[in-house]
Amino acid sequence: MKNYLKYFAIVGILFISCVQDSKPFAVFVGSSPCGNIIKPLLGIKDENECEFTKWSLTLYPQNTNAPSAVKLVYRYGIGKPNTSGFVDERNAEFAGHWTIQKGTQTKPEATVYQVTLYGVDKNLLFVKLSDKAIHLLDSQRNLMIGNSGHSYTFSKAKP
Amino acid sequence: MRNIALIFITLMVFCEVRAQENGAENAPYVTTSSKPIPAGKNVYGIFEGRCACQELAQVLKKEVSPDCFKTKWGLVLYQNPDTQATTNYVLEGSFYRQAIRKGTWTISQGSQTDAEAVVFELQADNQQTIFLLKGDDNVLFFLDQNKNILTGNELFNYTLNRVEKKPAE
Repeated sequence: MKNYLKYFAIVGILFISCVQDSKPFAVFVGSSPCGNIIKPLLGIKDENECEFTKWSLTLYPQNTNAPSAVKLVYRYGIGKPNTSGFVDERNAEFAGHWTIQKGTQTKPEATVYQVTLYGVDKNLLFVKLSDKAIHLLDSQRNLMIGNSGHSYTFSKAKP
Repeated sequence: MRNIALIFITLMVFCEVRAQENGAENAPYVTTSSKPIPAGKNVYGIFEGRCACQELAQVLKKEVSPDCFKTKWGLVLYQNPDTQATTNYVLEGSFYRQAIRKGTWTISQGSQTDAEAVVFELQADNQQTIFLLKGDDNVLFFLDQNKNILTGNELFNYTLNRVEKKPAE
């Protein structure tokens, strides 16, 4: 199992290093709760480990010859009072690829980005809300419900 | 023996249900508000969220300090319990701390980019109408006056999420 993880990590790093020269299609950022949908990704078992997580999702341009690359970076932990940071920040980084699909649970024509992460048995789905905003879907393609502090909407980073 | 089997099956089912409650992939969170929140057939939904500040202030024509970076919102949408027609709403939030915003709400169709989109319009006397895009039953997005989705930042966006009342203790 450890060997598999090492293999995927190396492939992921090589993949990212190959595509980093190309200009991203878009970088989406945002902060979400540490909901059940992402806990397995981050290996979180204890509720008290993670109050919220900051996301940075880099989508590289669609390419006809190779899978379109993705880089996903999480910074997470317990919020530090009166700041936007964490008491003890932890982070995780994933590589993968993305494809464009159609349809959410309620909107069959909606544009959906499917992000496949290497090394973990997980696809993430995002519905395109506008050119500048996307929102995470659950596995049934419903919009993920946030809490009173954070949501699952991500905005295009300002250059 | 049969009774033991029945008890065992009942326990297994109970444990499974509890596991789903606690580990659901996607379900409304319980509100963090300490205030009593309304419930009943006349409540369409209760939505809460923290949103970015400057863009929303501009849309709602509110003056805020340049340091303002987040706003806090709690929205209760009421309906006719028999017909489910929209009725009143109560909006508590950063721009309405002195006077809670109250009014009526209606449903219209069409945003700037989607002619089929469902939009909630929150009216109030002498104030800007607030437009909220219905993402689905559980998630709403603030729109600008041209019915475009607002763009957030690394910390906050312009989304309201359905929340549930705390279970009775």
